[in-house]
Amino acid sequence: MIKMLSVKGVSSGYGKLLAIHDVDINVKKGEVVVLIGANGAGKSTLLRTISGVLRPSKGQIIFQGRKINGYKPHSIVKMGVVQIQEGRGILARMTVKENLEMGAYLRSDKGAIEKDLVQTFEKFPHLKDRLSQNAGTLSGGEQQMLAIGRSLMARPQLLLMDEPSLGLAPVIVEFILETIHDLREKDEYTILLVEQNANQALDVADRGYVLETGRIVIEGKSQELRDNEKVQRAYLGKTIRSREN
Amino acid sequence: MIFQQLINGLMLGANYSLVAIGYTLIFGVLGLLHFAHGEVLMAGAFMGFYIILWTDLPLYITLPLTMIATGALGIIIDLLAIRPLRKDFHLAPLLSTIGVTIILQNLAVKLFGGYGTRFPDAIKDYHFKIGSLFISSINILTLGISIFLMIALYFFISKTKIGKAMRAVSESHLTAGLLGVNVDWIVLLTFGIASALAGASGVMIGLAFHAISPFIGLTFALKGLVVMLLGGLGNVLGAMIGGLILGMAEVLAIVVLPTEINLQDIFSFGIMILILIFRPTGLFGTRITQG
Ligand SMILES: Nc1ncnc2c1ncn2[C@@H]1O[C@H](COP(=O)(O)OP(=O)(O)OP(=O)(O)O)[C@@H](O)[C@H]1O
Ligand SMILES: [Mg+2]
Repeated sequence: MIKMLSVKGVSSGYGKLLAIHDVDINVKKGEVVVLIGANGAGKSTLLRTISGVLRPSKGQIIFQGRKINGYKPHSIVKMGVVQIQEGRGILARMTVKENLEMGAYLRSDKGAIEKDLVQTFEKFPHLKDRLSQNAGTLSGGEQQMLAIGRSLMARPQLLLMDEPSLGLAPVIVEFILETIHDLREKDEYTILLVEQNANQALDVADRGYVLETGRIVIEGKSQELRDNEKVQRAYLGKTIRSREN
Repeated sequence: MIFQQLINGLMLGANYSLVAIGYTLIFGVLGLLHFAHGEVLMAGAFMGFYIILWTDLPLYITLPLTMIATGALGIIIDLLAIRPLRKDFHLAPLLSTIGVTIILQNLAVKLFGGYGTRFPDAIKDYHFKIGSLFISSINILTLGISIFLMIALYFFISKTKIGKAMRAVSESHLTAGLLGVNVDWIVLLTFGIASALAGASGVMIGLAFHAISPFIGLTFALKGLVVMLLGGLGNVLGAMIGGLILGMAEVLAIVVLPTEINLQDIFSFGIMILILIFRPTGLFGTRITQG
C-alpha cells in the first residue's frame, strides 16, 4: 500500500514545554490507524502538530511525499489533511447548513458540493431536519455527526479524528464507530483516529500506536495490541470515562 | 417638531451605527477594542474634504474613494500596529491602538490645524417643507447611504462565503483555520471593511454638520463604543439597531429636557453605565454575529 503520512522523529509542544518526543508514525492509504493513550499523553498534541496548529520543534511530517510541517493549518487543509478537533469544534452561532458549507470552504465545484450535501444527509438523516437551526443547539451526538459530516464536505485525503466519542452515550459511540468503519469500507477514507474507547477503536482500526507521556511505547496490528498484556491492563480494562470537552 | 428631530436623530444614529459596526466586527474577529477606530473616521472626513476641495468630484465618487483610502489605512494599522503584537500579552495590541490614536490625531493637528475646518458643500442642501416640517435633503441622503451600507454589510456577512468565513473566525480562529480559512487574511479584510465604513461615516458627518476637526474622532468613537455595548459585543445587527436607538434617544432628550448644558452626552454615557450594570451582554446579547 502507498504510504500516505509519515511522522518522523517529531517533538512538539507548547512554548518551551514539549508534550511529545521523537514520535514516529505511519499511515498508509486506506488504513484506519488508532492512537491510544491516557489523558495528557500527547495524542491531541500530535494531531495538532500534523494539522499545522502547532509547529514541531524537531522532526519532519511528510504527507503524500511532501514535507508539510511549517505550513499553516489552512494550507494543510488545502493539501487534503482535515482534522476534527477534540470537542468537535462546531461553529455554535452558525446554522447547521452553514457549518456544512464551511466544510467545503476551499472548494468551488458547486454541483459536486450539492451532491456531497445530499450524501451527508444520507449518512446523518438527523442533520437534515435541523439545517436552519443554530449548531450550538444540537445535542452532543448530533454535533459530532455534524463535525464528521462537515469534515467530509472537504473531501479529505486524510482524516484526523480527535476523540469523536468524547462525552457521548454508548449507543451514539457505537453509531460513530460504525460510521468510521463505513467511511473506510465503503468510501475508502484514510483515517488517523484518537480514541479512549480502546476496545471499540481497535475493532475498526487496522493498526494502532500507544502513546505514553509523549512517546510511542507500543505499536502493532489491532490484534497484536489486543493481545498485548500491557495494553490489556492499561487500556482494555473496564475503564469507563466520560468527560465534557 | 418631534418628527423633524426624529429624522435628525436617525441620521446621527445611523452614523453611530456605522462606527459601532466597525468596532464590533473587529472585536468579533480579534477580541480587541480598536481605540484608533474614531481616528480612522476623522481621517476619512479629511480625505473626503480634500478630494472634494481639489478634484470637485461628485459625492458618489468621493465617498467610495474615501472608503477605499480609509480601508487601506485600517489594513495598514493592523499590519503595523496590531499583528506584530498579537501573540504578546493581550493588553499589548490595545495599548498599541491607543498609540495609533495619538499619532493620527497629532498628525492631523499638524497637517490641518487644531481648529474646525468648514466642510465644502459637495451636494446642495435642499430643505423640503412638508406641512410645518423642514427636512434637509442632506440628512435624508446620509441616512439613506448609511442604511444602504448596513444592509449591504448584513448581506455580505450572512450570505457570502467570505462573510461566513468572517463569522467563523469570530467564533474560533482554531476551528476556522482547520476548515481551510486563512485567518490572517480574514482579519485584514475585517479591518478594511470596518475602516471603510468609518471613512464613509466621516464624510457624511462632514456633510451633515458642515465642519470637521482633528478631534471629531473622539466623540464618535465614544458614541460608537456606547452603541457596541448597547448592541452586544460582536453583534452586528445589535450595533445597527443600537446606533439608531441612541441617535433618536439623544435627540429626544434635547427636546424633552431643554437646558443650557449639554445633557446629550451625559444622557448617552448614563445609558452606557446603566447597560454595563444591568445588562453587560447588551440589549441583544453578545457576539451573535449574524443576528
Ligand atoms: N494549550 C496548551 N498549553 C499548554 N500545555 C498544553 C496545552 N494543551 C495541552 N497541553 C499539555 O500537553 C500535554 C499533552 O496534552 P494533550 O492534549 O496532547 O493530551 P491528550 O493525550 O490529548 O489528552 P486527553 O485524552 O485528555 O485529550 C499535557 O501535559 C497538557 O497539559
Ligand atoms: Mg486530547
